[in-house]
Amino acid sequence: MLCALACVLLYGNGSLARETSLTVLAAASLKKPLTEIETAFEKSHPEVAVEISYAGSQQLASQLSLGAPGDLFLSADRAQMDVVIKAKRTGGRDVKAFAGNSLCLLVANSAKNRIKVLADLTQPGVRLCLAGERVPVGAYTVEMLKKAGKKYGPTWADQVRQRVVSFESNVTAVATRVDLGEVDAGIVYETDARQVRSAVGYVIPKEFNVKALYYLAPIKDSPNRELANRFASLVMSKDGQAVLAKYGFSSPK
Amino acid sequence: MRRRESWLWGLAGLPALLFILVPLAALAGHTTAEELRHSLAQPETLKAILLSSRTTILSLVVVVILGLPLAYFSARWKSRLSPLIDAIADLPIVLPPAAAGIALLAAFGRMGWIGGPLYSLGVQITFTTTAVVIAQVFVSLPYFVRSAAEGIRAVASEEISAASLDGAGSLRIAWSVILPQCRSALLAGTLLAWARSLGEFGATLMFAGNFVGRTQTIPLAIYAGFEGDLSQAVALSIVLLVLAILVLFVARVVARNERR
Repeated sequence: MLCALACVLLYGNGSLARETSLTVLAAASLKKPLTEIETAFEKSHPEVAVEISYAGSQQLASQLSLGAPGDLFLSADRAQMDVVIKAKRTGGRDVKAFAGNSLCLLVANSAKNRIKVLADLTQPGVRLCLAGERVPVGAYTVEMLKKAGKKYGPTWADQVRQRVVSFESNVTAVATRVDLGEVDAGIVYETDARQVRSAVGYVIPKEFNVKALYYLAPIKDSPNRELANRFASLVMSKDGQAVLAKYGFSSPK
Repeated sequence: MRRRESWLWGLAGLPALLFILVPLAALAGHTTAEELRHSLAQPETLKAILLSSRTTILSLVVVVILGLPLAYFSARWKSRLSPLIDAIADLPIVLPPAAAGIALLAAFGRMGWIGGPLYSLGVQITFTTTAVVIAQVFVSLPYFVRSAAEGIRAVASEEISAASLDGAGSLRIAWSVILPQCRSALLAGTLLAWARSLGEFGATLMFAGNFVGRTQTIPLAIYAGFEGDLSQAVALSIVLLVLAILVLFVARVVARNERR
C-alpha cells in the first residue's frame, strides 16, 4: 500500500501515459525555441515524454559531471561542453554546433535615455547586472568588455565591473533584473532582449561583439541514446533551424 | 522504559538517525584536511563567512527587538482574532523562500511600495547588505516569536496577578516577572532564528542578489561553488555544519541546566 502510494506521488505526473521519457538539459536562453521543438518532437513521437531542464549551462555541466541522469545536453558555449567531455559523459566527436547568438546591451525603460551605448555604462550611479564568469553569457561578456576596453581605455572594463551589483547564474535572471527595473542595465543575448517587456535592447557594435556558439551532444551512458540522437537531428534539421531563427538565433556557421 | 523495550525502540529509530547522519558524514568524507584548509583560506570563502557572521548577528538583534513585543502580545492577549495574528506571524515559515524573495522585491524593490518612494529619495535597498539582513529577518522572525510566545504563555498567571496586586506596572511585570522565567524559551527561539538566518538562501538570492563580500553569504557561496569550485562548496558546507552542531549542542545544554 505505502509503496504504491509512494510510486504514485513520485512518478504520477502524467508522463506515465507515455512509455519512455527523454531528459534534455538545456541552456536557459534556449527556452522559447526549444519548447516549440519539444512540442513538435512529442507530436511525432507519441510514446515519448520529453522533459527539459533549463538552467545556466555551467550548472547543467556540473550536474552532469556529478553523475546526474540525462540524455542530451545543449550548452551555450564550448567551455561548459568541455566540462562534460572531461567528465567522460560525452565524447568530443559527438559534439555539434547548432546555433549562434550575439550579445546585446539591455537597458531598463527607466534608464533608456541615459544609457544607449556601452560607453554610457561607466556613468556615475549606474547599476549593472551581469552573469557570473562561469556562465557562458558571462564569459562572452568578459571577452566583449576586453575588446571594448581597447577603444575606451585600459581601466574601462574595470570601471564597468565596479558598477555591477549582482552576478547571476543564468542569462534569464539578468534579463529579469533589468526588466523589473531593479538594475539600470545588463548584458544579455540578442534573443533575450526580444522577450522583455519593460526594457530595450541596444545593439553592441560588431567590432566589440562576440559570436556565441551553442553546442549539443548526446550523453554516452544514456539508455535513450537513439531517441537523444533523433531529438538532436530535429534541432539540426531545417525545421529545427527555422524555429531557432524565428526566435533570433543565427546559424552556427 | 525497560531495557529490552529501549533496545527495540532504539533499533526502530535507527533509520531516521542514519538518514540524517550518512549524508553529513559523506560530506565530510568528500574532502581532505589539506583541501579544507586551502579552500577556507580563499578570500571569497573568508568574505562569505565574514558576511554571514555580520548579517546574522545584526538580523538577530532586529528579530529580538521586533519579535519580543509581538510574542508578548500574542501570548497575553486573548481574543477571537488571536489565531489570525498567530497565523500571520507564522506565514514566513510556510512560504517558500523564493516567494518571500519576490514579495520583498515587490515591497522594497526599486519599483516597490516602500522601495519606490525610498528610491526617489536616493536610497536603494536591493543588492545591498541591508537587503541581506531584511531577507534574514523576514524568514527567521517567526521562529523567535513562536518560541518566545510559548515561553511567555507558560508563566503561571497567579504570579502575574500577585505582582500586579503588589502594584507593579505592566512593563515592570514583563521585565522582572515574566521574561526572567522564560529565559530558556527565549534562548531557544534566538538560536533557531539565528540558524534559520544563517541557512537563508532563496530570498537572499532573489532580493539581495549575488555579490562577493556584499551580498554573497555562505549559502550563496556554496551555490556558486557548486558551479565551479566544488571543494569550496564542500568546505563552506562543513563550516555551516560545524556551526549548526555547536549551536544545537549549546541550546540543549542550556535548556537542561535551566530545567534543574
